[in-house]
Amino acid sequence: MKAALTLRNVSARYRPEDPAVLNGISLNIALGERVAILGLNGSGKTSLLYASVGLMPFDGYISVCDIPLSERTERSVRNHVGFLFSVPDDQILFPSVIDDVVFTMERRGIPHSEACIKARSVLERLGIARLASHSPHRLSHGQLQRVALAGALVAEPPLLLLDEPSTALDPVGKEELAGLLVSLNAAMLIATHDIDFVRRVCQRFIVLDDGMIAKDTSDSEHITSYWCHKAVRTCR
Amino acid sequence: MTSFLDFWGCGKGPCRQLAPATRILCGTIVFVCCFVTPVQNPLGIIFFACVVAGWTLLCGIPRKTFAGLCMYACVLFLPLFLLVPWIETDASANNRWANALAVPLKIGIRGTACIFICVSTVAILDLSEFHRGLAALPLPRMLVALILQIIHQTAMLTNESRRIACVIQVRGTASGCIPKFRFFSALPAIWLLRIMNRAERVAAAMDLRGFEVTTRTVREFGTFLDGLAVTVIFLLLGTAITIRWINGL
Repeated sequence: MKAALTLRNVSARYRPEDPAVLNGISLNIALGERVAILGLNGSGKTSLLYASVGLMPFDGYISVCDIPLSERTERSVRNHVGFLFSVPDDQILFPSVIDDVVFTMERRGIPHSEACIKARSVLERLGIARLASHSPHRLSHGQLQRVALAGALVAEPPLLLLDEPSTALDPVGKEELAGLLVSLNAAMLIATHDIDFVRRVCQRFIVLDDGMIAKDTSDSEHITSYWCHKAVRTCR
Repeated sequence: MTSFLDFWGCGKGPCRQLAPATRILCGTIVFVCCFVTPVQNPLGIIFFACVVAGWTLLCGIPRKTFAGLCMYACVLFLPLFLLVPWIETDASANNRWANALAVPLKIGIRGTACIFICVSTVAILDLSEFHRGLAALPLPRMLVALILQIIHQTAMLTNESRRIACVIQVRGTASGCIPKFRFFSALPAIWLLRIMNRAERVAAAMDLRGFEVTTRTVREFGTFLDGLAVTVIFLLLGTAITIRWINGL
């Protein structure tokens, strides 16, 4: 079966002299599968997402939609991925919301008029159609997060890598986003601490601890108790 | 306090009816006019003043911004006059002081004009129009992307600086001279680190989103008004060159 994301024995560190932030991670995400990555601060969630698209050096094997990730294939791999950074400001590169969302489509060769229609429909689904002509500099953190999400979702990539997608959203926004993500056909890897959110969205839960997989389960009840227990133990 | 972002699109003058590309082109040519026009003779001075005042009026910048710019120009250029006693001129000349005064005066006049023209041009474009206008001009796409990113990231950094200022206001500064000095001397390092971290994150996002592909070129068809504006502005440039040529400079 074709996999959306495959990692085999992946280790990563920011600099050669630093300790590894990912230690021999192996995982496979099938097309359309929704997976949550849970873990405490510094456990390697963001690093895992970064390594998956070649944003940080790694040892081991990574492939996206069966395209092995290397310097030569980086661009083609990234064309298959929608990525949401944890700080949405950073990934918005244009002076208006619509321009930014349209850019994702245009760089994939889609004509401007068609890209505009698609971008508006995604903004509509995310409840921010009225912000289309706004400058991102005047938006709140939650609104920026939705704009960044629109940029990631608009090209309908087969794999979504989302870093803390629910952090800045209000309860209604979280509910809407959960509904939207569930309705998509894309595979997704969601790094978060928000257990309630991922329980609504994901079918599989992976817990990272010190750069290693500590738990990989599809039982949402079990993961909740495991997560609570782990949090309490860490607090002690 | 007026921030970098507040200048963009604050103008309400008739120039806003022009296409964004025409506005950028006109602003650039007015800017060039001010560099070409000589300011040593009455004809040059009158032409110079009319061009700058005309452009500022047509762009319709708010009074508060206008007053702020006047003050900014004074702060920037008045100190130059303190250097007059040390400016070397021809000692045998009768009007030595007048010659010495002419140097900071010329810098001040041209500098002030540049500030007014730049801000007026920025005032008739919001960031999105600026992007569209640049994309419609026959410029290398890489240059357009570069200018766009400089402006966009400057706006982001202004916001970042505002956030730091808010934090200082809310958390307060340390009391006592030495702790205060330590606090303020640490600020540039904190600011710089934040900017460097941010630059790294933005570079990663650009890399990931494929920004090297650069922006598209837009074809905008100008109206009669655009054609008229461009004709008038090129006539002004021609006049400036003629005045300079007559002046023998």
